[in-house]
Amino acid sequence: MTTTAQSRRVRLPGWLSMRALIIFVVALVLLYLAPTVLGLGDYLHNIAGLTFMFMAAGLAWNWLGGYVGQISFGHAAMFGTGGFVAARLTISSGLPFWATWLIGGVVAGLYALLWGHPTLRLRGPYFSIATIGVGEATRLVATYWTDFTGGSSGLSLPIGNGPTKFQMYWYGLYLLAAVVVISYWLRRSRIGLGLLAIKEDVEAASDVGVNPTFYQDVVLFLSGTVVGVCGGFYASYQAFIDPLDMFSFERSISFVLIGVIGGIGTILGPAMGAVVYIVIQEFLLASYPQLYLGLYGLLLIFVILFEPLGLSGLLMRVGRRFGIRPSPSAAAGGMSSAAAVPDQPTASVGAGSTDTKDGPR
Amino acid sequence: MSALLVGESVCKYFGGLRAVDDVSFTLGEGEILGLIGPNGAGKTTLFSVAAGSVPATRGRVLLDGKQVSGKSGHRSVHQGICRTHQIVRPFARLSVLDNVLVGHHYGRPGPGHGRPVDHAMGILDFIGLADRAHQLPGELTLAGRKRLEVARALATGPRVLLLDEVVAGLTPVEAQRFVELIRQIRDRGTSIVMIEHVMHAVMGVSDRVMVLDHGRQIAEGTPEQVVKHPQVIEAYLGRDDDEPNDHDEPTHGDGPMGAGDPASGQHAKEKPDA
Repeated sequence: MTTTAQSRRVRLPGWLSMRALIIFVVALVLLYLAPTVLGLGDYLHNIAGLTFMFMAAGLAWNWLGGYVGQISFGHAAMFGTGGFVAARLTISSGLPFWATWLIGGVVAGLYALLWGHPTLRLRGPYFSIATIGVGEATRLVATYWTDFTGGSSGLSLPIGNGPTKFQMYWYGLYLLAAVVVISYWLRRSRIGLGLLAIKEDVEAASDVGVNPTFYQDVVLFLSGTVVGVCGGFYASYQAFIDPLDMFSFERSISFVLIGVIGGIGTILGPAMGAVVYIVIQEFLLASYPQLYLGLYGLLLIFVILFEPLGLSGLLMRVGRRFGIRPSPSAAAGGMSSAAAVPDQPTASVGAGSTDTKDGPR
Repeated sequence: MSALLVGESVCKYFGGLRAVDDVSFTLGEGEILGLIGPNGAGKTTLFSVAAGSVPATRGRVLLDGKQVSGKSGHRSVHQGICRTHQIVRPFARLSVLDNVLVGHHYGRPGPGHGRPVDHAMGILDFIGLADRAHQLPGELTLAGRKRLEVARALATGPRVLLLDEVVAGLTPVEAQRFVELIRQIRDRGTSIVMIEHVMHAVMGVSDRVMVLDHGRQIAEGTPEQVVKHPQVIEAYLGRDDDEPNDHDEPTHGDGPMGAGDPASGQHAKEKPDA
């Protein structure tokens, strides 16, 4: 496989390996056909669509939380902003639903820049605390801004001109596919290397030419935009949104949980984290709602104590059992860069969770 | 010799503390300028100003006639001036090669930009870390990490390299190798300003030496001239009490800072000055 990949690699950009591309396309086709072939029940089918959205949101959160190392507890602010802008546009204009999502996303991204540009100068816990403030302030404003959000009675979307809940599966899949590509590109291109440098040491990064302010702003904008698009998706999916749910602190926490459970900073970890999150949310908590906080708390403690890289770290361990050794930087919680690996196929093994996934097979 | 880097009466005050006070300097193309002085003399502060990461209170630094922006370090890197840190700051969870690649990708565009890995490996080869390219910085010795710090800075394609105590803390053999390396870097066409406490290192390799004490420049010249300069001897060794002195102004409150062997300057930091 190496030889064919290398001969064909010429046509691929540096950040994309042939193997990753094949895995991506195969997964996309399988997921695209899955509902028709398997004939999932309505419930599972719809939940799968929602899972795709949470995967996308978790991945987008991870760009900031994992790649740059700025943990945000306020992403619900963008989720809600995107959702309400999209909902308002759907109600008042004849724009197609995807356009309302996109506009909602961009507005959310701009809103993220507005508060992010000053607060991203803070690092670590200080930034996280600031994001909690932003999230809560946004929630309060949204709750009382009845002209825009409908206040605590929320907004109902007109049914009929949007996609049906059944179609949402595929739109969720497209959204996820786009976000996976961006995640992969962000991580493996030279930008990803700069982001890791910022995560490791802002000043040292600045001293070798990385502009931390610019890259952090760009990543926050992208992250906010995608989470905003997810908010629009969610609005279309539920056909009813209210600010208490969209902007809630639990919403922000859910993005953090997805990222941490799956493996912070990894390429596909949050996608796995979203599955766990949805399973817990839909199948366990539906039966035992009183366990909500306790369960997540325990889960977080376990992940942080025993496997800081979450499910991705677990997969890497399994991979090691099967003789696949991740590169030293990947094992240490970093990730080898695209620029470093193409010439050394042996060193690239385990460079991302896509690769480690091969282990158990 | 054309002046590449020029400091024009650079001042940096922190409140009432004059960390760097009216220091002017020039660095010629292909020159190595040594920067010495007791602890707290303002050497590293001067570096920070020259590297653009800290704005000067007054005065300015010019690289090739263009002012070095004092707003953020990354801009001056693109202008062609890069610094290393006294306490090495590698990106701990990036491999040695990736550390260097960061410098390559975000530094000054230069030759070899089409092939990042080749360029980075070339630098690692030159610096003597090629066989460690895929290890983490934590697996290197201190000497190795100091080499990595220099390699990463070199990858940015600097015209002026500011080396902050790269030799300090190394064994004599390692130090000797490092001095050789510094000479080779200069021969490749990079001008160098180096702060150093290890006297034989800085005296052996520098074309000129500048001495700072309490933020002021007290001497400048060839290494031979500087070591004989009375004010330099005084700054390092203190004044002889028996010696009658006609200028006993206790302005600086001169303690025995960096007293004794100048090479032990590192240790003097840890000991409280009695």
